[in-house]
Amino acid sequence: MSVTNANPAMPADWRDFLALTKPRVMTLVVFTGLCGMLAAPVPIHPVLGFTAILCIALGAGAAGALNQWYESDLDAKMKRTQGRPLPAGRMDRQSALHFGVGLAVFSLVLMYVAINLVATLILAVSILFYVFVYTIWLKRRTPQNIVIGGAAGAFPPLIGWAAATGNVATLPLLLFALIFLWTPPHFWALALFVKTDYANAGVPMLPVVAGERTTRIQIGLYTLPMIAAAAAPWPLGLSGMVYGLTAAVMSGIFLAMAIQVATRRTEPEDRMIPEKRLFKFSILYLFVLFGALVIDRWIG
Amino acid sequence: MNDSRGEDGNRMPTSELELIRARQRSRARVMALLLGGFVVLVFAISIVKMQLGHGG
Repeated sequence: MSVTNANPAMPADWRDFLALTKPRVMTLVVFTGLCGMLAAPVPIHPVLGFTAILCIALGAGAAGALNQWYESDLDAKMKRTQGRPLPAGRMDRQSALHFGVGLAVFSLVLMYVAINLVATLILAVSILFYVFVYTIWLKRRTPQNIVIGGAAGAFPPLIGWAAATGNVATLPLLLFALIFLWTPPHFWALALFVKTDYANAGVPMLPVVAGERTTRIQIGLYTLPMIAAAAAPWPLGLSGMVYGLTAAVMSGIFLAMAIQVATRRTEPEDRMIPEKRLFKFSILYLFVLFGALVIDRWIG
Repeated sequence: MNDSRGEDGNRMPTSELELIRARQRSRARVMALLLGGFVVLVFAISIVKMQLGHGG
């Protein structure tokens, strides 16, 4: 790394381009997109299904790369992100920009040629929303950044469904609502235990701007409509009992954890265990619910 | 012969030049793999589209 920093002629390693795409975030994006596709009533040919998921992954990677290109100054100030390729000096910003734009265009062209226009348009909206609305417009301006910006991460099930069917229906819209409403408690749980990092970087996350108490209450409040969105497919007849019971149990656990976080008062040097636990569980929650939806479809 | 000079015009140490060459090689290899995969994918998509009777 020291050699790279010292010599601007050193080309960035391919692993750094991979890191620009935020592979860990991509796993959830790919999984929810795949589940949206598999939950659709129309089967898709495996080759086309693979291509659609590849396009979703590449589109998410492009959005992640453009996010890191724009935010390299912020990333350099936060412990959690200062090891990324741009703040660590392993890559120049222009390469990141070219890579992000190229990947975005490639994913959209491939989606249009191989799949359909509806899936392409939703993918385009999700990339543009993440880059322009969340990253450039909202993130540095308002503590509501992740509330509105959360929509960007909620598009994959819609894209997966549209890839299979060519249209959008109630179930994928509910899945969109679920991820959209899940994002605030998920991110604010994280923001509670990395608050200092965000404050140092000047990012107006809710705990930094409105304080810990308000954030905890908001986590509790957002959990309620999120649970309603999670439960809705069953009573509406859009899913079966496997999903319904899974959603009930998982949402019950989520609610209990959210209430604990919402009502807790922290001590100085608090280790934030319930907040970390809620953050980790929220990821599992989404994986399990989407997995149950697909199993339900297969059984039914 | 390639001129082993950096952007500032100074001659680069051999070890550093080797590192740059190694990195270029590894990037080229990955790029070749990706392009090969893309060719296979486009071929597969074309076959499937023909089977499904999609004109374009």
